[in-house]
Amino acid sequence: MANKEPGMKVPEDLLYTKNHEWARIEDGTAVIGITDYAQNALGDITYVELPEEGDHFEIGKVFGTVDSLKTVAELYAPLSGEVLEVNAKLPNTAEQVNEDPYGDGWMIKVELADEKEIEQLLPAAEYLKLVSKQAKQKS
Amino acid sequence: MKETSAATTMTPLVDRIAGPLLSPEEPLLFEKSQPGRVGYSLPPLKTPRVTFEQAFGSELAREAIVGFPEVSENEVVRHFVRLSQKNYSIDTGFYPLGSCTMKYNPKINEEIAKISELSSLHPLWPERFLQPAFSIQVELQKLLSSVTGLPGFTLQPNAGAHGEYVGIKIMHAYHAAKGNKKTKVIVPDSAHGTNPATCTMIGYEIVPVKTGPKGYVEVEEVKKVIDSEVAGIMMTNPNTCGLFEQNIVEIAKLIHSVDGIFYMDGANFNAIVGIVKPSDLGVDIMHINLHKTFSTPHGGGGPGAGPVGVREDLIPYLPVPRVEKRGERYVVVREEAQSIGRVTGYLGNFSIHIRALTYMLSLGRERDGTDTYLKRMSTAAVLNANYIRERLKKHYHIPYNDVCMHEVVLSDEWQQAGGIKTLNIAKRLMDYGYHPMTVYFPLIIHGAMMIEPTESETKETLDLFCDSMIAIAEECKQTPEVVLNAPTRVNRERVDELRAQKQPKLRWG
Amino acid sequence: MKYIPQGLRDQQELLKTLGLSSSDDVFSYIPKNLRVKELDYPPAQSEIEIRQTFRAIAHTSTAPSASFAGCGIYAHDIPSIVPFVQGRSEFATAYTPYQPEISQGLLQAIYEFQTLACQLTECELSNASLYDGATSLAEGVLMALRIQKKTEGKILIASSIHPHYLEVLKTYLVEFADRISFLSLEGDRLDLVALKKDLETADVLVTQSPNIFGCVEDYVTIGRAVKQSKAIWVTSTTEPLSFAAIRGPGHFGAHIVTAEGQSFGNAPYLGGSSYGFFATRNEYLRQLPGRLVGETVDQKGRRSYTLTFATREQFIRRDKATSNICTNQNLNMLAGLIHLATLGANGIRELAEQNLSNSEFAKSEIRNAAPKLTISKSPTFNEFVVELPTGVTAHSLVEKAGDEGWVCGVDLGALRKEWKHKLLIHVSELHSIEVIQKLVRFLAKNS
Repeated sequence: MANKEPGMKVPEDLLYTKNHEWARIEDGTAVIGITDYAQNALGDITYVELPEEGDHFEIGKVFGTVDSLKTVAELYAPLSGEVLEVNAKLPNTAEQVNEDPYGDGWMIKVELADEKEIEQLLPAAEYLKLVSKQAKQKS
Repeated sequence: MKETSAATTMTPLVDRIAGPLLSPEEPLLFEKSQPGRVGYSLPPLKTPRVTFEQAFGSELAREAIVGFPEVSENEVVRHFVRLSQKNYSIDTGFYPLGSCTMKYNPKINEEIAKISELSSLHPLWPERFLQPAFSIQVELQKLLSSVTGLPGFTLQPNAGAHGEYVGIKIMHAYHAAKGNKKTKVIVPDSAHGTNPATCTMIGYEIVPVKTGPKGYVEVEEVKKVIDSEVAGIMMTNPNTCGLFEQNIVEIAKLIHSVDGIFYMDGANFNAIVGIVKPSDLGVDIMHINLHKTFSTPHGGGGPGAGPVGVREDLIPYLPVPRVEKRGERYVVVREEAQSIGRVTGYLGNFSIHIRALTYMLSLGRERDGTDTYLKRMSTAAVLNANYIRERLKKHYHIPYNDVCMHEVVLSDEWQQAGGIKTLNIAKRLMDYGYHPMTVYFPLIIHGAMMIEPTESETKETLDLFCDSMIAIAEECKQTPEVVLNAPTRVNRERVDELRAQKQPKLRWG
Repeated sequence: MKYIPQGLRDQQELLKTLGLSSSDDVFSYIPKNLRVKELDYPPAQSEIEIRQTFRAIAHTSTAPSASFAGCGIYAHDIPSIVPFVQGRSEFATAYTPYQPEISQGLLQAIYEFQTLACQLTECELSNASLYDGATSLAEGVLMALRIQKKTEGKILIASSIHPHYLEVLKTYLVEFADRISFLSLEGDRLDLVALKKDLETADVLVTQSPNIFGCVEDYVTIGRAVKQSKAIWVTSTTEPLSFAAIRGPGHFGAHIVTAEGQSFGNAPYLGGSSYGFFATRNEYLRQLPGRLVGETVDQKGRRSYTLTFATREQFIRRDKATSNICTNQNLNMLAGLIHLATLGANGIRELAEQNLSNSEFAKSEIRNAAPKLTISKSPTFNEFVVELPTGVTAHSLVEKAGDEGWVCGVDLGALRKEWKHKLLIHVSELHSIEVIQKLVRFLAKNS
């Protein structure tokens, strides 16, 4: 779904949360990051605090934080599981979250504890509806 | 100059050294340094010289401190006088910074605080030498008790946030002593950031309550969250929307019904001194910012003082040491079984206590004996805020447009058309010669602009300020780019805060 | 009232604009039954009366003719320019410099202070200062615990730290009380053999030097031991002038360095207000409590300063902040900065050397004149303990000198009962040979 407006890129192959995290599901694992809408709303991102490999998170629990110039946002785990990999470069190159939220700006890779949870995530079309509505309310 | 930063090498000399007259560019102390310059004088050493190496051995002894400046006395004076001129202050002009009560700081306070018999007092001298300090502290406690109705006070906290910490510790100690199982504190969503930060420090969970449609907390909202594990509530009154909490008495009763403690954040006390005694509202614990309500200087970020007052049965929990009057003498009580303990190195910011007492005595009962000047102070502060509200209400959106207390909160809702936000309006205000108001607070008002005029200003000052605000509102419509690029008429244009974080340079050298 | 310009006429005009008839009407939202009817409050005083009142208070006791009291708060010479410059309205009556465009002076001053603090402590990074030495230490330990987030090891505290600091620490560390353990002493300094063993199970090490007895701890050996352990080392110093004589704790590998700042630029004022140093390593930037100023540029490319990394602070992070602190005792810090600037590289050395030399002189004179008294051989800077013989308490000596109208030192027994025979004596650049001799004669006569 091509959308040129800033902050409105919503790739179709990903799943989303209401809190603006995305997840790419592959073979019982999920790569997780924040959406284009989230990075745009936060503005210049200066720092990302991430968990360590081996940490376990329950769905909906805070797994890290994103600092922008003026605010700090918490990151909520879209799915339960154990952290397999962390984007180690991010703390020092936090601007990648702004520049490429779905690519180099990824945050953690998780081994899923319960694949059924995937059903709770939003497909792209639904998430796009949500952010379009939020964007309207703001302006 | 020893070091020239990348930012300055490309600039022509005239811009680098001059700037507008009376606002000159000033190098860092370290860049002014020249080997051999001295700014001090000491008498010759009269005892046998002992070197650091003799005393501590070569591994511990220090050589000259690397990078330390060497500057003559007159250069030091000029350096700091020039730096001082690059700051806006209350004595420079109107400072409508909401929530900060930027009132006039009387000069007699400073004169009294500098009395050498007071400034030279050492906290560990025998009590016989410290009677002046103790009498000042006890007198100040007494006057604070008068205006709050709270019988016990500690002067130890060094700032408002420090006072909150002490207050919530007392709440915690009270519940612990009674064996109450308490896990959480209710905090309205309009609270200052320090409130939740403090509760978390003590280990309480925060239960937020929403501000109601009229700008204050509704009883129903509190009812929804109250249960036996609620340790208490932390409320600012008047609240950060500038309104008197209408349901405060009922909320206090509700909190007391589960043996909870009502904590009032006294940040906005300036609106109600001599008008309302917090104890009459059901307040059990309260801190007061002497640097707001009682006119001690803000000092560019401290020192302040945040005395805490408590109701009768909480007095045993107050920090130690405590100063008490016994007969004609003042003594220090060092131990008290139920006390939360010591929270500062000595007896609090005494230098600030002197100033606050001076002020409180200056604003005592009027000559005809009826009212106090304190009441006049609060009345004038509230009238001034309402006057600003009245004059600006057609030009700026006022989310809770009703009779306010000592401050009024606007929003940028009507100015957004050209991409303008609150921050731009604030920065533009500098070009008109004012310190900006508090922005983006309280958080519950989108694009908030919080204006607190205090009682210190004349009607002419308020009028000129309102005229300026109205002119800016007009600029937002006619020439938005002027507002977006502000400030352009002050010492610095917009400062690049992102760069400060991306390429951190947190010290010279 | 001269501070409230609003006269009756002004008030009427304001009320007219507001459409109100009386000033009481602006309080219409406060129910009448809650309003104050009668306030128990004294009459207002004019400036003349205020001066009389406080002059009378100031003279309720006479100032001592000489004082050897230190123990955390030290009287030093304060150059005339310090109060002169610090008292300028533009500094004193400004708020925290949140608006960098109109606060460059304060911001630059803080930046200069951060630099000087790093130089003094030999650390990479300093904040804009905290409340005082005791709270700085408490914040330092809390920060160390944040760094060591996953472990449950001990918080090792030297038994030789100032008891007031320890009390503040205990207040702040209530929830970690079961993890606190104390390092034993070998005489008046830390037992280094025991320390090495204790460090094996420690998360945090807390030391103070010079310690409560004025003794300089062996940071060379302690630093080596810390390097072999996983502990975060937090140091405290009550007399920052000692940094001019003894290498900064950062040099020995301390992770977090805290200190009282009062000695630089601030009169004793009953111990308040002053400020606290807080310095650490760059890698812990995100964990640092308090304010921080950084260099940047403005839109025109001019070098500028601004508060930075504010996302650590309470007004943004609220309940997740590194601390609830929102002040840095700026004006006290400024006095310290001005004092340090006038002292400069040479002045601070000379000042420290005079303190050391006068103090050593006092020690040797007491040793000669009063052989029954013991003064330890451990190195000290400008403060030392005189150990009194059985039967003589420090309290009795302090009271006796008090009767004569002066202060012979601090009775450490008042801080901890088992120290009742220890008299702590501070000697600085302000003590003349005559005054030192008076102390020596007094001690010789009373021992």
